[in-house]
Amino acid sequence: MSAPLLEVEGLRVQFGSSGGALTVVDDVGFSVEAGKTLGLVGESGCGKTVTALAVMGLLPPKASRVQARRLRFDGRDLTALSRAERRQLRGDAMAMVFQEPMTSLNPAYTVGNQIAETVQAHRSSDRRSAWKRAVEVLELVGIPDAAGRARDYPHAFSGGMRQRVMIAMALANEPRILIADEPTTALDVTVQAEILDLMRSLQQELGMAMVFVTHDLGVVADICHDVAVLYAGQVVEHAGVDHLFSAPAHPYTAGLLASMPQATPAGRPLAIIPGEVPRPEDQPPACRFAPRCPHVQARCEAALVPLYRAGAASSRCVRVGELPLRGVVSTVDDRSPRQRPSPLDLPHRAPLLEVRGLSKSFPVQRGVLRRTVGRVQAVDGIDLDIGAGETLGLVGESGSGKSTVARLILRLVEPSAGSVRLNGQPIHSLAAAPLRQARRQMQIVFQDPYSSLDPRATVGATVAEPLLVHEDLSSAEREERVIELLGRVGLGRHCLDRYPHEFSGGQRQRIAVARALALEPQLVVCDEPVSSLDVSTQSQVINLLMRLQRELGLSYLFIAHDLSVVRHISDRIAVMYLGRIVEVGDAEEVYLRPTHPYTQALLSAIPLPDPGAQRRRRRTVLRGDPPSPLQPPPGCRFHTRCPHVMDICRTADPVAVTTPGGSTVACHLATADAIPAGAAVEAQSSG
Amino acid sequence: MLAFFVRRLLLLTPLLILISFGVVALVLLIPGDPARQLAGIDAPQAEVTAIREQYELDEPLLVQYGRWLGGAVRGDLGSSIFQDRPVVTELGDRLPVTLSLAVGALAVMLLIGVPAGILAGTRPGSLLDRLITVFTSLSLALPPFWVAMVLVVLFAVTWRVVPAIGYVRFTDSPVDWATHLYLPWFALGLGGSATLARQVRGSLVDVLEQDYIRTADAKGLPPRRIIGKHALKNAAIAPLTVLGIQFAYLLGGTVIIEQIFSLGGVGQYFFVALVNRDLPVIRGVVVVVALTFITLNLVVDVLYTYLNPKVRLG
Repeated sequence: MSAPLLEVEGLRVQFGSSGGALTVVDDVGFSVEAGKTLGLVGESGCGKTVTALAVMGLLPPKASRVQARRLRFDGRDLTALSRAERRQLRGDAMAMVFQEPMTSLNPAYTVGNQIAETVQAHRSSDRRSAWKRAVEVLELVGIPDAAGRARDYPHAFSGGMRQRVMIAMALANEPRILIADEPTTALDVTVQAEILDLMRSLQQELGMAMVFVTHDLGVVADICHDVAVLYAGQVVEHAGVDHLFSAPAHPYTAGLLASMPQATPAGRPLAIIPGEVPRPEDQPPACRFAPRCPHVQARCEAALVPLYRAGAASSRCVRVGELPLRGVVSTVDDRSPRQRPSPLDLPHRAPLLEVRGLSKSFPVQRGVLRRTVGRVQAVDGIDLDIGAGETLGLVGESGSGKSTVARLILRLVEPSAGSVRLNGQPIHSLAAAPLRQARRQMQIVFQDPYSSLDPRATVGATVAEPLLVHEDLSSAEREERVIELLGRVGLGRHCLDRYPHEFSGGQRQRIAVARALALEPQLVVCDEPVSSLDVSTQSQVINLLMRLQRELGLSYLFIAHDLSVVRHISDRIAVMYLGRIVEVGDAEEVYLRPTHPYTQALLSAIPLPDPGAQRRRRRTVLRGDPPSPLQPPPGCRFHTRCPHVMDICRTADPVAVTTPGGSTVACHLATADAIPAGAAVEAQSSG
Repeated sequence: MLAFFVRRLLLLTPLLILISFGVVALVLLIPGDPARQLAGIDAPQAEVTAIREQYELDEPLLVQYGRWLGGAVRGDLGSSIFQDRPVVTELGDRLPVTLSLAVGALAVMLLIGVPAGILAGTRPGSLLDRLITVFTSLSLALPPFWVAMVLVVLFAVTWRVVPAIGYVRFTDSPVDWATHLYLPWFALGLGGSATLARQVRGSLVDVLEQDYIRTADAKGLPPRRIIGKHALKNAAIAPLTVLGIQFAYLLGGTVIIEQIFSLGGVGQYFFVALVNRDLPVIRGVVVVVALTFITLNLVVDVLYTYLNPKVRLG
C-alpha cells in the first residue's frame, strides 16, 4: 500500500468575519492514493464543494478561513505554502473540473487558447508547443477533429463536449490528482456514461488520484473506490465503496441508499429521510443528523460525536455496530404484480388525453435579410394517450422535444400540426375563451422551483391566483381553499404570508404543486419536477405526487430524464428521440425488457447504485451527441448512433409495431423480430 | 462577418433618410411664417419675400426635401443665411477643431474611467473603491461648464501653465495644439469618465463572480492575468455600449465648451446658427453629427463581435 497522495485531517472552513463566522465544514478528513478515486457524497449544503475548493486553495482568501490539522499533498504541507506556491500547484499537479460545463469556459476565447494558456502558465513552452499540447489533450478526451476544433469558441460545443474540454484542460499538465465537482450532474445520462468511462480510462492511463464530488450514489458506485459521506459539514462515514453499499455504518448513508428509487418496488412510496439538511447557523449541537434519524436516542443528543472505527469503515454514530442498517438490496422484486391495472387496459374506455400526429417546427433564420432557411422539427408527429388516473412517463435526452410536448399539450405554444383532445375536447383548435376554460382541467409543474414562483408574491397569493382567475369566491372562502391546498401538500397555514425565498427547493416544489391543484385539474403535466432536488427531497415530492394521484384521481404526464424515477412513478413510459416517440409501453416492460436500441442504451447508461452489479454489467454506450434536429438523419433517426444499425435503417423510416410484450416500438429490428440476444441489456441487476 | 456588416449598413440607410427628413422638416417647427422669422421682426416685406424665394419656403415639404437631398448627395448643404459661406466649407474648417476636442475628451474618459473602474471593481468594498465612488459621484454632479471655468481660473489665470482660450491647428504646432486643449478635454471628459468608471466597476464585479474566472484560478493563473485576460474582455461589453452613448453627450457638450474656450468648432457654429435660426447651417450640422454618431455606433457594433464571439454568427 503506497502512501496517500492527498491527506486531509480535521479540515475546518469558516465564512464571514471573525465575529459572526459560520463554520461550513467541520472536522473533515480523508485520504486518496495515486490511481484511486475517492467519492465525496452528500446532499446539497453538506459542504462537499467547499471541501473540494478548500483543498484546491480556491476559496476567496478574504471571506473564508481554512484550518486543518493535516493537509498534505504529495508529502508537502499545503497549509504552510504561500499563495504563490499554491498557485503553482493548481492547474499543474492538482487540477479541478467543475459542475457547469456551460459556464466554466470563458466565452471570449477559443478552447485551444484556454488550454494552451494552462500549459504556458506552468511550463516554459512557447506558443506553438503549448497549442500542440492543447490539440493533443483534446484528442485524448475524444474530441473529433481536435486540431480544427481547438480554434472554436466554447459556444460551438455541446454540454458534453464542453465537459470534455474542461477535462482536457485539467489534464493538460498531467496532474497527479484531479478533483471533479459534480462533473456529470448537468449532463444527460448517456453523456454522463461516456464522461465517466473517459475519466476512468484516463485515470488508468495516467495513474492519477481522483476526488469525485457527487450527490448521485449511482455515479459513486460506478467510479469510486472509497467514499466519504458528508452531512452538515462533517464526514459521517468513510468506507470502501463495496462496504458502504452493502453494509452502511451510519443511518444517513443507509437513508440515502434507501431513498434511491431503485430501492423500492415501483408504485410504492419511496423511503425518505424526513426534514432537510440543517443550515450552518442552526446546526444541532451533538449529533447533527439526530433530528432526522430514525434510530435517535437520548445519548445521541448528549455530546459531540467522534468518528468511530467500525471494522473497515468509520462512522460518526454513537450507536455504531448496534444498528440493523440495510445496504442496497439488489433483489428488489421487480416482477411484483402491479399495484393496479392501467386504466387503458380496461376495454371501451376513451383516454382522458388523446394526442395524434402532434408536430411543432420552429423556423431558423439566417443571412442579411433574416430569411427563413430551415425549420427545426422539435416534435414530429407523435401519438400519446393518457387514461384517467394514469401516469405516463416521458423520457429522452435533452433536445429530444420532451418539454415542447408538454407545452403543446397545454397549448402554451401553438402546434404546427396534429390534434390534442382532453375529454374529447379539441384543445388544439379552441378559441381563446373556451381554451381558458379548458385550461382548468390541465395544469403544469415546472422543473425549477426557484424561477417558477413569483419572488414578490406571498405563497398564499401564488396559490390563490388560479382561483382568482377562474372562481368567484369570497376572500374568506378563497383563503380556506388555499389553506386546504397547502395542507394537502404538507405545508401549514403559517406559510400563507411568507415569500418563496424563505423555503427550500423541495418546499417550493410543494407550493408549485398546490398551485397546480387549485382548480382541481384532471391532468397535471410535470416537466422535470424533481430534477433540481436532492435524493431525499426528491423522494418526498414523488411520494406526494403519488399520494395526490391516489386521493384525487389525477392523471400525470411525468417528464424526466431520470429513468429510474420515471419508472417508479409511471404506469406507462414513452421514450422520445429527436422529436419522435421510439418506444412506448408498460413501465415495467419498457424498463426490464426494452426493445428499441435507444431505450436499451438509455437504461444501460444509468449507473446502478450497486458497485458489484455496476462492474459486472455490459454497457451500450452511445457515441457522440444526438444529431442536429435541423437536419435529422434520413431513415430511422437513431441510425447514426445505433449499435445495431442495418442498411435499411439508413433509408427507410421504421413503422411502429407492437412487440410480444405489448409495447409499441418504431425499429426495423422489432419489425424483423430479430434483436440479437446479446443486445438485451441488464436493466436491473439480477442479484 | 461580411453579412453582418452588410446588414448593419443596410439598416443605416433608412435611418439616415429618416434623420435628414426630420432635419428638413424642422422648418415646420418655426411658429408663424418661417420667412418672416428668418428675416427678423423689423425686416421690410421685400426682404421677407426674397428670403422665402431664396429658400423656397412656400413649396411643399417633400419638394424642399428632394431639393435638399439632391444637393446633399452632391456635397452641397447650401449656404448660411447670414455669412453667405457654403455650409460644407465652413464645416470643413471647423470639424477638425471639434473632433480634436471630442476625441481628446474621449481619451480622457478612457484614461480616467477605465483604470478607476478596474481599481474599484477588483476590490469591491475596499477603501479605494469607496474613494473612487466619491470621485465618480462628485464628477457626475459637477456641470462641465462649471468645471471648465474653475479649470480656467486655476490653471490659466492663477498658475498660468496653459492658455485660457483659443485654438492652434495640429499641423501648425502639435505642442501648442495640445496645450490649448488640455483644459477643454478635461472639462468635457470628466463627467463621462465617472459614468464609465461606474460601468466598468459594476461589470467587472459581475464578471469576477462567473464560473470561468474560477476556472482560470483553478489553472493557477496569477491574478493579474485572470483580470487582464479573462475578466476584462468579458467586462468590456456593457461599458462599450455606454461609451457609444457617451460620445453623443460629448458632441452635445462641445457646444458649451467651445463657447467657453473660444474654440472655432462646429459646436460654436451650431450655437450661433441656432440663435440666428440659420436654417441651412442647422440642417447641415445636425446631419453631419448624426452621421458621425451612426458611424461610431457601427464601430461599437464591430467591436462587439470582437468581444463576444457569438455575435459573429448574427
